[in-house]
Amino acid sequence: MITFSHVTKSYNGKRKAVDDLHLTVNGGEVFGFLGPNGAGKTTTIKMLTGITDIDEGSIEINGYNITSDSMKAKRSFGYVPDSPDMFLRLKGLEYLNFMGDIYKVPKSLRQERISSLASAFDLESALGDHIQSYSHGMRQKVMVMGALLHDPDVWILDEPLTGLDPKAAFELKKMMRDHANKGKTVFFSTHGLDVVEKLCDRVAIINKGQIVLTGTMDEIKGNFHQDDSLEKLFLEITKNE
Amino acid sequence: MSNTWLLTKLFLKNGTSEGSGKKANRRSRLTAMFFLITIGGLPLLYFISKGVYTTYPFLKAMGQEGLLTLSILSIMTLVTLVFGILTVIMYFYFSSDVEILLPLPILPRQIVAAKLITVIIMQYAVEALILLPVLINYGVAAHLGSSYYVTVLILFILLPMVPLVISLLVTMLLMRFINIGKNKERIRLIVGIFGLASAYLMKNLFDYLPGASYLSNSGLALQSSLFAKLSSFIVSLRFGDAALQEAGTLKGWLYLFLFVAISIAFAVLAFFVADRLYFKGLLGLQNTGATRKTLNKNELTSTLQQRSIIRSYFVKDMRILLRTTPFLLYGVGRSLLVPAIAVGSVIMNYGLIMEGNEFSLQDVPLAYQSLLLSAFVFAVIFMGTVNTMGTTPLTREGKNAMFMKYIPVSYTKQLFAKVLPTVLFNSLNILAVTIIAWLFKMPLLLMIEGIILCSLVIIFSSLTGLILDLHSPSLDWDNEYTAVRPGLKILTNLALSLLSGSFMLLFLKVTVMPLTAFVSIFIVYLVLIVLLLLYLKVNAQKLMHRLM
Ligand SMILES: Nc1ncnc2c1ncn2[C@@H]1O[C@H](COP(=O)(O)OP(=O)(O)OP(=O)(O)O)[C@@H](O)[C@H]1O
Ligand SMILES: [Mg+2]
Repeated sequence: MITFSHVTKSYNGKRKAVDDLHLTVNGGEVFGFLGPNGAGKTTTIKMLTGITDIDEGSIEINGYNITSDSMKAKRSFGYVPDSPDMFLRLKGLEYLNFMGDIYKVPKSLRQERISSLASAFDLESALGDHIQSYSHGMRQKVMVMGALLHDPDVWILDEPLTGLDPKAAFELKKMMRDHANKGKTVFFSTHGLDVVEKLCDRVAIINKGQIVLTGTMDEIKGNFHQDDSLEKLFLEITKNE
Repeated sequence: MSNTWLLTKLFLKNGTSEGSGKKANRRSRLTAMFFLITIGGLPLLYFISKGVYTTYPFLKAMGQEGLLTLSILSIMTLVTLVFGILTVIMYFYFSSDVEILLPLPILPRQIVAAKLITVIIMQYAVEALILLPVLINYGVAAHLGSSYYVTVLILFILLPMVPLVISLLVTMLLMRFINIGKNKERIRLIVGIFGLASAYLMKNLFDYLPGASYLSNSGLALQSSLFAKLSSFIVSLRFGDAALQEAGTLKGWLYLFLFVAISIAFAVLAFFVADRLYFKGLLGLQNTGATRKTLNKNELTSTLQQRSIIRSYFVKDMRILLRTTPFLLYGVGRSLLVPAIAVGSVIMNYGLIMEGNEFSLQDVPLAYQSLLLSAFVFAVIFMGTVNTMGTTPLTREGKNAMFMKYIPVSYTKQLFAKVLPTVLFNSLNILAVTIIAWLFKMPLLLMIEGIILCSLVIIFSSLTGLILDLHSPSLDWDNEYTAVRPGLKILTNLALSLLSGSFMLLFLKVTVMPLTAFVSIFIVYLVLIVLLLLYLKVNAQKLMHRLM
């Protein structure tokens, strides 16, 4: 479970990148976070994961405050950053092993999870090479694997599907669904409206730092003309006056 | 030509911008650093002036005062030559701006000229710290006139040219004709071997340089040696020195003219070669080897090892250090090269020194033992701070620094792990100085005291380096070279270490039992380290949060 209570953040004191964000993501939910470029999605996620400071308000993950109880909060989530260009000098497997050490995953479990994730993502043959030699999508896959290695309760994924091939995207979506079905939490940002429509239990649309709409897919559509596509809706809501 | 100036300005701007943050903030930080460097540099200046003033009359009496100028010129040239190769590889081949310049309509020689000027200007910092004080003090001690100082100025400006061009020529040949483009691993190997080879070369050159031949009376050997040819490369050096010695006379001006002419000729040669070789060597440096081979069960289990967090973190940092060419060259390379050169040159000249005057530290009188102890510690301080490893533990992370903030490991623990590689590599300097001290039969007790103090010194400077970096990291680099470029931080850190060690100077004048000196210095460093650790513990959270 994730709770944002009136969270506000501005980068240089002027314009608010995130403005009074109030939101609860429940266990058992795949929650989609939508919004145009620069709306504040990544900023929200960076505050959620402890990467950037929160100016006002507070965030809790599974009941642990990310600022005051940061170690416990950080242990309970797995995070995929928006740019996968990290640790390029390490080999895929070395990176995963490092993540295993950081999150104290026992060796046998580590091996088992890496094998199954690698085969789901078709990455077995690349794990022995340096991440530098990976394509964008392959890097994305390794990041996802690293985030899921310790089987965290809460998944926080910033545009995880960007650059993945159809098979990997399918597998990841299936994993997200399965994870939520076990009563755990999945929170992810995306620009793929069709993904949201098919996968998410609930969505929030953020524009210029403010949440303009939250609800289940049905609720959202109920507010508007039944047969409008999500795309039309999205464009309508985020239209600049 | 206008292209060249444009590029020079660009490179200089790129090369000097350091740290991030607001302008006012940066300025106050720069002022603070400047202040520290000035104060920290004072003990060094004191040592140099003192050294020149005490040796001058002594050498003058023997009619060999020229030894002073010649040896400082030789040392500067050699330092430039050896480190020049590393600088040139990094600056001319692995710099990100080069990739941007490649598609533009600019001639190779223009890029090379601009880069050469930039590198020479960067060299002035070192010259200003070491060459200038010696030459100026010499001038004062010998009561020389204004034409001497004019000569000094011109030497100062042009001295790095010849050794840098030699490094550049060697590098361009190397990069062009060895097929390194396909495989970065091989570059690392070659560079490693090359580093060692140049250390070897340096030591040999050192033996045959004019300065050394005064010492060893091996002028005859010079003629017959293979290295005679090599040393005649640096013939500009002899003219430069002759110009200093004869400053003011017509002969002096003639020598100066020859020195300038040779320097310019070298530059022209560099441009000529650059037009033919530079771009060819540049192409294809970016490839990485990849096998795409599925690992079998055995390989999988052998890579997958459970380690403690600190160990795993350390292993990760070491891997990145060793696999990133710029880090390897600037951090690891220099960390290995400096002690290797130090020990190598002493061993090579050992027979000479021992024969000459039965030199031994065995029976140093009590009054001088604290001087010896300080020399031991200062040697390690100097050796440890010429590489950028200590002042870039965070900067090296670049955008990965974000990672440090979302994993469930406390900042204190992570920062502690980040200090370990610096401590490890700087320990090599202790080893080197210990070997040298042992060769000269330094009393055992004194040596053990030195080792203990140096361990503290290294921990101290690793911590100050980390804290400096934590205060002004430059995480926004897109090319690893930028991350480890030597800058102000390294000088500030040197200044801090010197400052901490300046306490030892108290014991030079006062005749104290060395044990008292040892215990006092020990306590001072221990207190300083505890203070730094406390500072880190209290501020780690705040400082890390400012990062992003
Ligand atoms: N480091 C930063 N410094 C200053 N402003 C920033 C910084 N990062 C983001 N911003 C600003 O904050 C606002 C929100 O950016 P954010 O990255 O959260 O958007 P986003 O919703 O993730 O966009 P995208 O869909 O493009 O990923 C933007 O106006 C952006 O310019
Ligand atoms: Mg984003």
